Amino acid sequence: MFKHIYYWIDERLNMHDYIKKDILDKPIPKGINLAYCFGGITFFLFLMLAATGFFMTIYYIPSPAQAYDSVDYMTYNIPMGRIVRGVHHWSANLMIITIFLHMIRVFIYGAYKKPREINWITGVMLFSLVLAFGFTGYLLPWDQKAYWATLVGSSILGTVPVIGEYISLILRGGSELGALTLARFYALHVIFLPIATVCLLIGHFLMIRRQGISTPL
Amino acid sequence: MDKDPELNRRKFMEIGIYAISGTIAAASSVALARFAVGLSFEKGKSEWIEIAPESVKNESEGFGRVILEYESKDGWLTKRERKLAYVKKTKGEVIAISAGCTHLGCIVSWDEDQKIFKCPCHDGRYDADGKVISGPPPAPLKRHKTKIEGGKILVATETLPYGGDKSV
Repeated sequence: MFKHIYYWIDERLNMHDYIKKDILDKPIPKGINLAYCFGGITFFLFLMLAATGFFMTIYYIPSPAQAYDSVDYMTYNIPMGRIVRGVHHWSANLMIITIFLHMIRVFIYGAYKKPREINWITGVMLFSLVLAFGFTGYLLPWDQKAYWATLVGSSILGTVPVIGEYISLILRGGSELGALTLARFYALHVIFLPIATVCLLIGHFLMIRRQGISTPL
Repeated sequence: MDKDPELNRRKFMEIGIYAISGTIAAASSVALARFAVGLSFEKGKSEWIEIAPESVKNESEGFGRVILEYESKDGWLTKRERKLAYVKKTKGEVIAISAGCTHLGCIVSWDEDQKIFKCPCHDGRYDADGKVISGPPPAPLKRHKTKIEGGKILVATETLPYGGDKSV
C-alpha cells in the first residue's frame, strides 16, 4: 500500500531518481573515515533535542512560581517523563562534545580553506548557537544550580569592556535575575535559537552538497 | 545465491540502515506519544475528609451549614478549596448536599420553615432531598457520598468540585 502511495506521489513529482541517486545512493569520496561522522551525529542529536524539546513544552511553564514544579511534575509524574527529559539532557551534553570533535576534524584536515570558508563561518555561528542553547536551557528548570549558573554567566558577560553592563542588563531583562530573565531565556531557547539554527543548518548542508566533502590529502 | 557479492552487501547495508533508523524512530515515537498523552485518562482521586461531628445536626434540627475544606490537585498545582454543603444526620446516615445551584452555581440557602432549598439568583427551588421543585435548575443538587467510621463523619471529595464554592 505504501508503495502505491509512493508511486502515486512520484508519478506527479518525479523525485525518485533524484532521491535515490543524489541523496540515498550518493557516493562518498575516497579517504573518508569515521571522524567524518561527527557532523552527522551532531545533527542527529539536534533532531532528538528538537523532538524531546517540542514535547516538553506541553508541560513546562516559564514562570518563577511554576517552572520548577512543572519540570518536577513532568519528570516524576508523567509516564516517560524521565526518559524524555533524560534524552534532552544527555543529547545536549553530547552535542557539545560532538560539535567540538566535528570542528576539530574540519580544522585538522584544513577543510575550512578555500572554497569552503563560508561553510566554516556558518559552522562557527552554529557552534555559538549551540552554546547559547546550552546557556539558556540551563536556566529553565529554575533550581539552585540553574539560578546561580545564570547569575555567574550573565555577570561574566557584564565584565565585557564598555558594552558589558548593557549586555548583562538586556540578557536579564533588568538588573534582577528573575521572572523577566526566565521568560526571555525560554523564548530564546524554544523560538529564536531554533529558527536561527534551522536557517543556518540549511545553508550548511546545501553548501556541503554543492561543494562536496573535502577529503584529506 | 546472489552472484554479485557487491550487490548483496549493498542490500544488507540498506536493510541495516532502515532497520536501525526505523527502530530509533519507532522507539522515540512511542515514548513521546506516551509522554504527550500523560495523565489525560487519569480520574481524580477521591479522598475522604473528616467533618466535625458537632457541625452536623440531627434530622429534627434541619440542615447544618458545613464548610468542607480539601486540597485539589491540578497538575503541579495544589489548591486549597472551601465548599459549602448542607449536612444532617438521619437514622445513622449522614446526608450531605452541595450548596451549589445546578443552574449557574449560586449558593442556595436552606429554608427551615418551608423545608426547601432556595436559590437567590433565579428562584430555583429544591426539596429536602435536593430534587428540583421549580425554577431553572436542570438537575438536582449534588449529593456527596458520606460514611461514618469509628465515630468520625467522612465526606468524599469526588463530587465536591461541582459548585458551592466558598474559597473567596
